[in-house]
Amino acid sequence: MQLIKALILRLTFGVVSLLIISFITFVASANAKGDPAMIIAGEKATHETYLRIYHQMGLDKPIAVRYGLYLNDLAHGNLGESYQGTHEPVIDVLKRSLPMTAKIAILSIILASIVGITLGTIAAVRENRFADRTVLTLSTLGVTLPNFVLAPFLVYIFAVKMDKLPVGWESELRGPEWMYLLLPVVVLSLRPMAMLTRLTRASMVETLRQEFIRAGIAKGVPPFRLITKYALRNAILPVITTIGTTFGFLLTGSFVVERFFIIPGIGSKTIEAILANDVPVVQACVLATGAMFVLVNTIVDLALPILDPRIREAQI
Amino acid sequence: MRKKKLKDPLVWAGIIFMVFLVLLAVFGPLIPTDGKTNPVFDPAGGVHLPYGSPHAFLGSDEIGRSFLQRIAYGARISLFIGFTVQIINLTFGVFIGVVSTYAPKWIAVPIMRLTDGMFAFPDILLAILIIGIIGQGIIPVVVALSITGWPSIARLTKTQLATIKEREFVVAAKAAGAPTSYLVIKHLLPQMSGILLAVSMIDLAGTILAESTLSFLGIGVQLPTPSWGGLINNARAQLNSYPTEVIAPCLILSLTVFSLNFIGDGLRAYFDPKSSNV
Repeated sequence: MQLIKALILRLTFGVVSLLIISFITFVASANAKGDPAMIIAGEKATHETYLRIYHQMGLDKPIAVRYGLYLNDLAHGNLGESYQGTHEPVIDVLKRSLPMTAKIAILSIILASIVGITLGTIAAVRENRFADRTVLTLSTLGVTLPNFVLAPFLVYIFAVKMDKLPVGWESELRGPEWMYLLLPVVVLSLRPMAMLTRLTRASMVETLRQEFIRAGIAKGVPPFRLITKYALRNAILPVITTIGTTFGFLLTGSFVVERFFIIPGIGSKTIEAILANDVPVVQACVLATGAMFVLVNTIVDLALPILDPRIREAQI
Repeated sequence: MRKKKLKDPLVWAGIIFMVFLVLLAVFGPLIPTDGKTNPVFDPAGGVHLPYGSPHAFLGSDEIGRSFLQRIAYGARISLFIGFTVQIINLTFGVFIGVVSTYAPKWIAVPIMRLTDGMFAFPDILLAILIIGIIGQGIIPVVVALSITGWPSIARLTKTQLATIKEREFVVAAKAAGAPTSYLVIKHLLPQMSGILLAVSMIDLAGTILAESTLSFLGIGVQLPTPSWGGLINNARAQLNSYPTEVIAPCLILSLTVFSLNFIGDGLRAYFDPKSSNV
């Protein structure tokens, strides 16, 4: 029962966050420069046509009503049309670019989690020894170095000097797709990886000092089993919470990485739309990215009470 | 009073680098060139020099502007945006923090909810949205980064105030009849100034990084005004033939971010020895 209550609470929180994000994007685009009706109607339209479109778009209604209409449109997957080119429906733009971004983001977070948790555990077990210091130094670099600094260095080494990997995305892929995704995923995962490493280390160091670990050693539990089954299971919870937060950094990074490697994802689309002053596309892209962030955090939040009975009780 | 000294060598390394950076930003235009190179707005063509050339030791860019000077101007832009945004964030964040602690509930609660709501949105995403709405350039970057930056300061102020305001000397002053404004200005804020300074150093690094990110994406500071992010973006197509044009701005940006983080961490350990940092 408690579990269900906890889950419902977290789902509600996720929905509220989504509403906040939709509200922010709505307010922002309602205040954007340029009159949307004028842009749709075109410069040469007569005043009657303009007024008709103005009315059709609901621009004459009060702002609260317009937000309601906007939410209704959202629920029906109607995000408006692009101002540019063929006035393509924005939903199609999202359908085209979102899967690519999601794929890269998910691959990166998986890579970051696996490597980060492993390195953090090794560092904690070898606390204050050489391995620990190396991992700590590298992770400090990883947390502070921006990914548009890392990307050119890796590209220079692997694509320009060694000529093993492509420099960026091409419309006609020459070779398997993973070769094109390898560098972007690695670059994107480095920062979350460094954060997860540091956190796993800190959490593990604390756990390894506790009494049940000493009891385990005294009882003769094999070291590997002691670390993975006893210590890591306890130390992993704050790390899982952080996976959700690091996903935010990852989305930020995906703008940079997509732009650097010319990947046709939602990040490049957003920048393109901003430069072209294409408000509906900007709005939808930000909304979609924000929704991804909320979704991942809600999944993490839902996973926590399932993994840890203590949280179930504490949170109600 | 306080006997402890700032001994951490990393903090001093950071401070020395920042002094160097400020000097570079201030005196950048005085860096000697051969007279033909004009650092900022020179549409006239020039020679694309490699690094180590006699009058431009980092070389020049594709229209012959001294690259070292471009970086110095970039430092100006970065520091200007960084400090402006940080001053706005500090002022507004501390104000919101104080208001949400002392104001009556019907004001404080909505403000707190708004602050929490700001955390539901990844910072850069909101900044990108704001820039998407109001346009690109230096002022929009300042506006976007100010709107996204204050909630963390507000939250910090609130948590700090919560502990300080229960301390004996504050309670005593209150019992003696001091008005709230006097308490805040004379007793509470001076107690917090150290930790606020430390956190603003780290936030300053974040702001400079965010500005560079936006400029790198092409939606921040616009060329021909040089900014480090913009320079990296501009030079990456010639990574193969002119690698220093990517490496130099990357290096100076990374060193700036490191230095500010070292200074911030050192100051935090100095002002608040009990805190541990992960």
